[in-house]
Amino acid sequence: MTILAHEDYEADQTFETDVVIVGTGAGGGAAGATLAEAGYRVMFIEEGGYHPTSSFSAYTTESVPRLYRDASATMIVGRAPIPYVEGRCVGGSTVINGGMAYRPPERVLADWERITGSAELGVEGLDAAFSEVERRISANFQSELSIGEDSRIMEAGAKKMGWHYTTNRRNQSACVGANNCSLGCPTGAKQSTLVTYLPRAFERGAVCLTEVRVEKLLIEGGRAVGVVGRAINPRTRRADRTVRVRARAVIIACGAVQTPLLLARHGLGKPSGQLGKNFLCHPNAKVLAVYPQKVDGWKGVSQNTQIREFHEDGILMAENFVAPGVLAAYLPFHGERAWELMSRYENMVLSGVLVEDSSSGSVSRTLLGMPLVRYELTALDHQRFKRGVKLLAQMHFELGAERVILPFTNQHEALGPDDLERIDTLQTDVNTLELFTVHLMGTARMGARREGSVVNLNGELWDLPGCYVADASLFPTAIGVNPQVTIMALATRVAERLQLHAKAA
Amino acid sequence: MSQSPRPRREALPDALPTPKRQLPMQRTNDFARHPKDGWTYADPYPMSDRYRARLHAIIERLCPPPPAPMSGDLLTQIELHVRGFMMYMHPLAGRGLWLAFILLDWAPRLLFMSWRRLGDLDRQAADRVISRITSTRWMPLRLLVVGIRGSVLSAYFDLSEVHERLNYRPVPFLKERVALRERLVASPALLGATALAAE
Ligand SMILES: Cc1cc2nc3c(=O)[nH]c(=O)nc-3n(C[C@H](O)[C@H](O)[C@H](O)COP(=O)(O)OP(=O)(O)OC[C@H]3O[C@@H](n4cnc5c(N)ncnc54)[C@H](O)[C@@H]3O)c2cc1C
Ligand code: SF4
Repeated sequence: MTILAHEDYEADQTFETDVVIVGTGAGGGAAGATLAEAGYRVMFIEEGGYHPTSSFSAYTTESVPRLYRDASATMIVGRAPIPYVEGRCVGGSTVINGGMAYRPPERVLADWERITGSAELGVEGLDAAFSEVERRISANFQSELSIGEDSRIMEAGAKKMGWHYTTNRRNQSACVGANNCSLGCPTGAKQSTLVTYLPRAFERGAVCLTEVRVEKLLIEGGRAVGVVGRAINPRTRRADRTVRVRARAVIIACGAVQTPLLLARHGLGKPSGQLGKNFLCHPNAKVLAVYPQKVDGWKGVSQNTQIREFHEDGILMAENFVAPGVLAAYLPFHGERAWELMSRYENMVLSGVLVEDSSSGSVSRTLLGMPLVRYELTALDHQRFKRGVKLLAQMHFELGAERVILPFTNQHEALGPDDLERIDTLQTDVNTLELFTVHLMGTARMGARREGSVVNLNGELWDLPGCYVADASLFPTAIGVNPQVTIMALATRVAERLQLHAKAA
Repeated sequence: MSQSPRPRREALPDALPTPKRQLPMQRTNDFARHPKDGWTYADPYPMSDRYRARLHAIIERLCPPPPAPMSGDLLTQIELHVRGFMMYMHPLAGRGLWLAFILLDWAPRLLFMSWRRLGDLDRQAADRVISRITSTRWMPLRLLVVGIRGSVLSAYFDLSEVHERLNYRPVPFLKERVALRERLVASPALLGATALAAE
């Protein structure tokens, strides 16, 4: 296994390979392993570092800088602003995700088939790819011993309210409910690309250049022939070495924010003007309930159930407990009030309302090289949030919660169901909503026509041969469920199409 | 159709450097705060002693007062963690946070709430200023202070002394879980016996 880091590169170094893949997350990992297994020389480039399972801990101050982009200081601007997080490490966001493994609903795939005019992106067309991904990442149900008390509370709540709920399939193998998923799974149970696709690629000779941020594509004769990156000094965080990789095909898998940022540098996506458009993010709002009894949400997997009663209305509900350092970053209080709330840590259930986008935003490149991510919540989604938060808080009160912390800047606390009645009168301005997101999708959409999409059905850019996209950017529309399985399936498909191309050539 | 690569099976060129870093692959996890996996944590964000003193005062106003854990040593730990976070942000965001601390310190004067700086106000007066900013309708200001509050409280609630008071003891729990999984993997029958949850 060859994993190189900053100190291994010369001041200006060039490598050569068959396929260079930028990014090692859900998309990059799946595409890379598929190509390495087919006999291609694969070289991954990853901006973050390599952190093995044995290095994961429960400490936020150590784990967040290691694993999260910009130490999680990333924000979508608009009404309302939405902080977002994504991974920056070998394995990308799959290292820090909650492990829920869902296929998109059939109605979404039917839509994709209609929009692209290709049955290959429909329910049947993608079925084999989904099955293969689910097998590779071991998508299955949790064992009894792994399930946390907060999951059981959510399940009891759904039953009490008469709501339909499902048990989540998660990409895990012998998960023991350590519930450290968002800071890296320390048992190796979560089947992120770090422990599934990437080791398979490494076994087949793939190489990973870590701590290198790709800043440019190498384009010769109108064709992508490689990438140029800068290696980041781990001590000073300055980019001080140049790394070039020349390759016969380039795959960009940097995620739905960084991929359009990189491509925009070259003015690509011109034929449709769609690059960076169609940004989707499944915004969600947290509902934190404090119970009289001990819950110890940090023990046992917390993402076992999903309430789907309102899924057709674009609302999902789930729980997701996190370490105190992570939770505290989003507290609406400081000083004494923060302590008073956090000292009930062992009594808390952290749940959330996830809304399927009814609009889309954009990602553009600012003059200073930073991404500008814009997204405006629609009146419909605002309405969905108010309804979802109210219902979820009601459920907690029905189960005996003492208080519920609400995601509204002008109404942070409800001490009983009566307080929830004021949501409708107080929440008139979307800006008072406190949101968050971890599902970023759709900025280099795939399509059959160059006028309406950024890449063709093979994943290749319409206006740059040899350059492919294989990550969450490909989504033609939002999928309304957790996206990693879909990303891996599409990325595998892109890698397979690239091979078919090669054979034909 | 564009020209794409053909598969090649040769080994990688000899020119590939030998990695200098020793990456532990199978080491048992010791859950150290800074695990020895060869990774270097960045130097803290550069700051003058004067700036650090003001930063301490602001951190103190944001963090819970005693009887919650608080001491000079803890303040320094929080300061170092916040400066660590700043190094991993986009350089402009790091600089923005640096400026935001100054702005927050001067906020009582800018908002005509007091002639003193935030770090010099007593706790109650400082609370009033912070609460006013975090509920302002002027979004950029609100976000700046929410960002500062988030990074400071995140560092505070990650301190071992605070974990202890919250009855959050992750290390023994995680060690026990790692051992449990090793047993389960070694004996799949045991895993089968742990009735699978049905949909
Ligand atoms: C906290 C959290 C919880 C989540 N929970 C779930 C869940 O339960 N189920 C689910 O299905 N999904 C979940 N997701 C979402 C899912 O993990 C992501 O949608 C998915 O991993 C995105 O895949 P990707 O390949 O597009 O990007 P990523 O997985 O984010 O990978 C992109 C990689 O590219 C690297 N990169 C970016 N730019 C550059 C550059 N210029 N040069 C070099 N490298 C670069 C990044 O460092 C990163 O490692 C969650 C995400 C998060 C953050
Ligand atoms: S719950 Fe624990 S063991 Fe299971 S996947 Fe998450 S971190 Fe790993």
